[in-house]
Amino acid sequence: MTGSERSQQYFDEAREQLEEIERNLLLLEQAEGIDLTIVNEIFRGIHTIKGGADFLGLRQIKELSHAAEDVLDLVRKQKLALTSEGNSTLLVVTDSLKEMLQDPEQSQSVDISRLLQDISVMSESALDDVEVISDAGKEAGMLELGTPSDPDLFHLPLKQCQSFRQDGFSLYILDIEDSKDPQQAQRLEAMLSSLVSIGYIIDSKTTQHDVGEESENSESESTSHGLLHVLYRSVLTRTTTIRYLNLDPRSLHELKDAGVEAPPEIMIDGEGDDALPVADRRLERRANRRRGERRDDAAIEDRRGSGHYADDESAGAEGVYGANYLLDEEAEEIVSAQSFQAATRDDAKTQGSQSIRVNVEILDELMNLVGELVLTRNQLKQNIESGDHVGSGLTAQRLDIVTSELQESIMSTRMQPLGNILGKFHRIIRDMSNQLGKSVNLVLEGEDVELDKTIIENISDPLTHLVRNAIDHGIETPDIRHNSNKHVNATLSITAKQEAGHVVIEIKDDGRGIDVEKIKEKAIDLGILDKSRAEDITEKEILKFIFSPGFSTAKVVTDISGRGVGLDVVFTNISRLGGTIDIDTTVGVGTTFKVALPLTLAIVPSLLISSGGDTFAIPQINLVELVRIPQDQKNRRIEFLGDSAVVRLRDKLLPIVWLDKVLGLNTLRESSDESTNIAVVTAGEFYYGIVVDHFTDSEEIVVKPLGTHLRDCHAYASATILGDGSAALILDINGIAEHVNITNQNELAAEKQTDQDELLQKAKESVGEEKSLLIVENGEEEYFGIELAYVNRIERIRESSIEKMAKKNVIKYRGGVLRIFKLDEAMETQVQTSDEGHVYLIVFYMMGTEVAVMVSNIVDIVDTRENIDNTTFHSAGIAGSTIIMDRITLLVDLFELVKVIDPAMVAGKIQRETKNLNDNKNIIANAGGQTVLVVEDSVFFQDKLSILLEEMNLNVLIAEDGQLGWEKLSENAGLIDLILMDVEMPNMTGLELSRVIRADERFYDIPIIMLTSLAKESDVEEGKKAGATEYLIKMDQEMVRHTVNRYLDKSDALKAGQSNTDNSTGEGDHVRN
Amino acid sequence: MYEINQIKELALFRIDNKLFGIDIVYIQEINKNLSFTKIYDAQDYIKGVLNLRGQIVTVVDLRVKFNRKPASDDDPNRRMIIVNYKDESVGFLVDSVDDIINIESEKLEESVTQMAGVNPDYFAGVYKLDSEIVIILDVEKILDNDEEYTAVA
Repeated sequence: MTGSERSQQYFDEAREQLEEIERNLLLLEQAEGIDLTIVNEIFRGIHTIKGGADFLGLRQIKELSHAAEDVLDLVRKQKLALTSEGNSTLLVVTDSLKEMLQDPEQSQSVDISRLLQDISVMSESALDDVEVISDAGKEAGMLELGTPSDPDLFHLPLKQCQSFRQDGFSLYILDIEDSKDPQQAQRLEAMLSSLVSIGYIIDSKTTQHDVGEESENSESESTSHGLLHVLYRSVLTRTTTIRYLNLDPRSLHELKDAGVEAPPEIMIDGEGDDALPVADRRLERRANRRRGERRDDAAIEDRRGSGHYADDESAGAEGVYGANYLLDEEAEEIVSAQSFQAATRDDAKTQGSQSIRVNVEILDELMNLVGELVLTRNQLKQNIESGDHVGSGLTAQRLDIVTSELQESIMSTRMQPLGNILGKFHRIIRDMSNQLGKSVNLVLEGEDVELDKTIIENISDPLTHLVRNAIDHGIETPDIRHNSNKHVNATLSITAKQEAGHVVIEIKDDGRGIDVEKIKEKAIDLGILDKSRAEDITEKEILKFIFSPGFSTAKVVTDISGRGVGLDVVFTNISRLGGTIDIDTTVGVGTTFKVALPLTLAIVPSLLISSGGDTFAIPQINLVELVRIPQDQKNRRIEFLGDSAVVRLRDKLLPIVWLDKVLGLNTLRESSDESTNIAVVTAGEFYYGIVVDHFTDSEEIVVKPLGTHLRDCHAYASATILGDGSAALILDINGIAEHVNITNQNELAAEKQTDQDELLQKAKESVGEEKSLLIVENGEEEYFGIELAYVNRIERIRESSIEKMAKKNVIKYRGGVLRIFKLDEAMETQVQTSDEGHVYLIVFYMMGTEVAVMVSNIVDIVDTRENIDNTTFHSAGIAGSTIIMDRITLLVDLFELVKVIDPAMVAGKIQRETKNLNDNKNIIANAGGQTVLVVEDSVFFQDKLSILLEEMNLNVLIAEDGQLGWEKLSENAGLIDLILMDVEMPNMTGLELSRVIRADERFYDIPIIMLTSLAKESDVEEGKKAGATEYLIKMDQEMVRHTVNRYLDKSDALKAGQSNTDNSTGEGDHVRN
Repeated sequence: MYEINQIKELALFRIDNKLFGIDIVYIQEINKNLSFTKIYDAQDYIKGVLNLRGQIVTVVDLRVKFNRKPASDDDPNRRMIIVNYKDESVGFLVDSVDDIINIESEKLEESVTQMAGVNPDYFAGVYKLDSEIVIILDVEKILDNDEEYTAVA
């Protein structure tokens, strides 16, 4: 091994040693007492480093490590207690050593004087410790705690004291008057319970004090006051406590640390130096000097960071809970920024390090695979040279397998456990907690989860920022937490786990949460959220705004120097790695940042697709499924909600976008020719479909980054090189989703879904309602209207369940068979299409039996039936038309329709009826055939009615207008049994005619049935007033028939008299269908 | 500010018949009309990307950047100047490449040049040839203009 190799080895080892040392120092701190094994390990580590440095002539490193070694020696011999401060110093030393080892040449000139000083301070106190303890003859490690007036109140072991003061707690002694006075006793109780609420009571003691020159009765009463001293620990500062408990400042004593590592006695806050023993004064001076130094040279952190957490604008701002916590300088412990720089230096190291540790087993595997590769290559050469095609094929397959395995193996060498970067968070959190006066527990999980080296390096910064953000702005100070009934120690958990091709890292805090409303407002203010969208926007979308550049109004934190801070950079970095980030938050409870990363950056399995003549790649992690809609179903399955398109997929509505439109490509497809190919993709929580021209192939592609100029492209994140050497773009599924605002669409789609179901429900409930018109859809965009008055039921069935029986469409229904009529059987209309195989049946009675008309979709239910146009659209089955929702809607005459489709069926029925009628005719024969006068100006209806009546075996007389009607009636008085008249007629309207008829006493009781297409309430009224017996709707033939029969029967019965009634057969009410 | 007096050699090329120059320090290579994959929805001067021996290079149409009509794809004289800056390669599409010349420093001038419709920042100065004036381009400015994110170290 050459000299430089040897030094390289030293550096590598030393670096590892320092990592270990740092970990151990942190462990030490968390442990309750002193763990000597750990101390020894640290000692050995430093010793090794010193030795190596000496050997290589690295003076400064040697000196520094030597000093550290000495101090550690004291600690391991238990001559020195390692406090929090001491630990901090050693950590800083570790950082310095790391830095120096990075650049050994430079290290020679690094100024380590201050560090040496700090260390010597540590050691000095050790000696003091020994001194004083032996002087006072106390038990080693015991401390005396008291107040100026009562110096010796409590004895506590030093270790215990130290542990009490961890995590930002301070020790206090509170003096409370304890007298027999009941009021005072009450106050005491109250005080004690308040104390319990802000801290933990350790011990208490009562002393007696004689009150000074008070009462004249000093002889009779010995007024001595008791004074209760309560020793307790709390995170609140002295000032806050005084305010909170309304104390007399003189009654609260804070046990201050002199700023020295292992003080023999704790300095007592009091009335000046008199209270201090001599030894302490020396300590105090040194302490003050140190404190002063620290203040001078420390970087003061600007507490404004990327503050999105609820109401944390600046120090001293009113938080969500309205508390002004940080107003006293006591709260601001100014700590050197070195610790932060240390943490960030770690990153520099990880990024810059050119070597990696690999498990030897993996290397063995690699060797094997390479061996196989060589063999396969030889084989292939042979195959090709000898022209052995079959053999080549087989060998190529083998090659495929070996290459894949090799690829996997090599990738796994690059995999590093996340623990490598997660570990440093202990340090960061510790330092930040101390600095900000917050108390945070770090919980790490999933340190074994592995990620590609590149991703680990690149994720380190964003994660750090998220952690800092959480502690800085998310986690509240202990008193705020306490006031909101939270545990004073906040918990920050970082968990990592693998989930189907991703690694998911969650950073979760139980802090104050993010106020979504405030984000919304800020977004509107900044102009990135349109007010009009503000209503529909979901919480998840609002939270995404946090990642917008420039969103944070606060100044950048300076000591994460130049690494690019702000959540927008976090977002960008994570996106560039191919990952996603989501936020989940509840105000007052906490926030969770969820980062999902692909397992490896470089090679990604993907689907190649083509659109507009170009090839693109969709990463498999985004791909859900592929859907193909055949051309003939296209128009049905693709529906439009406003501007956006959706596709019904297994009862869900999926928003879709056309790739060529999104990218601005030339559209090659002819829209109606081919089937539609949709790739269903997922962008985090949202699903949507991308319409492409073709699905090409599934391939593993190598991901290459795009240049900076293309960073703004929402549709692509990276590129790859295809087999033919050309560059192809990899689609950024997230980016496209955001760009096209798919998230909103998803919700609209969901809404539409429920709308459909509701509509069906409503329709079902409205059957039988008069004056309600059901609007249905048959083919594309053809609307039909069916009067709900005649509808018995609406059913939704699968089109596939319709069977054919003797050329008729039927379906098994309610134990019987239901005949189904399709509109296209009667008229020229579009071929029926169906919505995912479902159709609707409109069930109604036709001459006593239930039948159904099939439609493809229900559109709506409307109430108005005005302005029916009888003349424009007339065909079999269509009674008229009207305009509904701006569309021409054809009104279906259900009965006519059935008659047209299957006249035989109707005829058969009528025949039977007629037969019955005929049978009965003999009965009625004596009375002669009945005659109906039809007064109607429309020839069409004249015909219709005539046919109808003749089928009923009635005589028909026709008059074309009111005047003629009157004439005819007068001529045939006595012969006419019933009058059917129209309302709207020339020369004399129906109303007038009716009045005239009624005026004539000959006809006072003749049944007048008014027929019209309009049936408003007012019309009916008028008609009745004018003398009409009945008021009917013209096209409603069944009703007409029914009514005519009814009235004729009556009059008939009257005419025929009694003689024939017993001849009526019991065939049922055949005329009364 | 780009110091033009450091330039030793200048690559000359034409756009819309005007003569421009780029310090060859930036130039990685000059290629004939390479075929590239078009991108449609980026900024208008970004024509697409191409595969240059495994690296994805963004193609910038300088004509468009200088507010001229885009070049026709069939022009046989069209060339691609692959420029390297900040560890990234970008290809400039130009009408033709004329020559590479050695610089005589007296002929360099830092004057501010105006060209219709072009950001004057793109120009670092001029070089006086006998017959023509060469406008020297400030490559950094041309490429920087688009970056909205500073590169994270």
